Amino acid sequence: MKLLLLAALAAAVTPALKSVEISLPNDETQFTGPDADLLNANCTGCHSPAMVLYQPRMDAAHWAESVKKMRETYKAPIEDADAARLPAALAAVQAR
Amino acid sequence: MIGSLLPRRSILLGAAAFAGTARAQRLVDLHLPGGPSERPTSAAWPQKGEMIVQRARPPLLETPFDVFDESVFTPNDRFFVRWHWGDIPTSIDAAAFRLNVHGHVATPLSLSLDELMKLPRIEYAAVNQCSGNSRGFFQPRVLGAQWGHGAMGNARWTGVRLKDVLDRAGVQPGTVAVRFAGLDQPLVPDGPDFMKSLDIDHARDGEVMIAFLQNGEPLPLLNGFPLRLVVPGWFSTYWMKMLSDIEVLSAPDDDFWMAKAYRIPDTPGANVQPGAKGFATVPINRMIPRSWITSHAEGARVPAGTPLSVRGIAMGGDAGVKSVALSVDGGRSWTDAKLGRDEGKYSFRRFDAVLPAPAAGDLTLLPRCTSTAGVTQSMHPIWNSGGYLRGQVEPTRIVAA
Repeated sequence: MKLLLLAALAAAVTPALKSVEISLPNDETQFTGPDADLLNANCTGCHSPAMVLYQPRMDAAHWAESVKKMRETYKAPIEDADAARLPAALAAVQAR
Repeated sequence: MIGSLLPRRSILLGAAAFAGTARAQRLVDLHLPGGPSERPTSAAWPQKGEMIVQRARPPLLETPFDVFDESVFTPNDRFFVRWHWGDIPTSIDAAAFRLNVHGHVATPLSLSLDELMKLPRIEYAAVNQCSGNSRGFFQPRVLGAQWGHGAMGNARWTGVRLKDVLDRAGVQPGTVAVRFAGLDQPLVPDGPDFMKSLDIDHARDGEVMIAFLQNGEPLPLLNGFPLRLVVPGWFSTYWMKMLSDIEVLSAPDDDFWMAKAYRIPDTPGANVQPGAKGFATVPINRMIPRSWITSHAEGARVPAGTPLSVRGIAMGGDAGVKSVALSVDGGRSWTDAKLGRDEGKYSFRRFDAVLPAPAAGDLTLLPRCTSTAGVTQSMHPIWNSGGYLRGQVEPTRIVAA
């Protein structure tokens, strides 16, 4: 009896789970600089430029590994010609 | 028209940094070695107060560290946010939502929220910490979300036992693991959908929870409304947000997120030499003890010649906090801190101490936690390429003047 009462009390004080609708802030940031078109076309489909710009400084060889991971693991639709240019562009945009 | 807007947007960007339309409120310096170290904050995210914006899309929002000085419980609107893929539902119909349980079970289930909430309730406090919390402090630096120390939070979670739900479905003999997935989806069709699994014995331990309340309120959508798995003592990667699918497996989970991602070296402390190869790895799992000074930020000024009151928070990882000691002489001598109220072994625990009056000059505060499992934080950093499992004593450098 006491347990039932406790259960009823617990149910009474539990906030109801009501439907929720939110809107996420727009992220309109874009890469800038000489390789902006290349970077915006291939990187920002999945994530903000900040994901690149907040990484520690890396050389093109390290960025090449990252580009490979984005293509092979996360299936980013990056053409071979662009993939060849991206490592240097990523290293350069970090240095700006 | 769009073409004419682009240059202007580019110009605006220089001033607005990376916050986009989420208006930056201030810049926070995370003191990451070698930088970039500054991040904007924003209060533009739904159901959230001021958060450090590590990435707008998909959101990576870090808790500003001063929040941890206010309470051992992290307010829901300041709780960190981390999503892998950008396809996050922005509306949840509470009446239509179903939690599906299927796979190696006697009776597949499709539970409404009302049905789930009729099951017996459990409640406890537990720290939710990202596997990569503090990654930005690794040296040499590693790739990934460049978190400071704020990819963590502590809350009182209310929900039902995962075990009770599994028992209702009737787990079949030969089950080895249980896999969890949420409503978020990859942005590219063949990208790996985020899923994680626990061994069946862990899933049925009676502690792992399907939570519907966080600090007594429904979860913020960005923290996983309406349901989130709570795996106390384990890293957040297992705490599936917007939990909608539970699959009971009769074979080990060989999916990408267990077999390839979120793995740590199978070495003491998950520590390897930078560049090392050929070591075995295991899925990241239990947390380890950690502690931080919260009363003073890096670079704070304090009066010389006056006893110094300091306080902070500690966690035992997969156990409680047994003790916290403080050193101001690089670890040569330690003073026991006074522990605050025990909110449960998986919770943060407050500590405070009054230190002898410092002489004028630089001072490094070192807090060191020992867990009830007998594990003490190390003075030495570990390293692995994932930037996981940092747990060394964390210095706070201040100036007495």
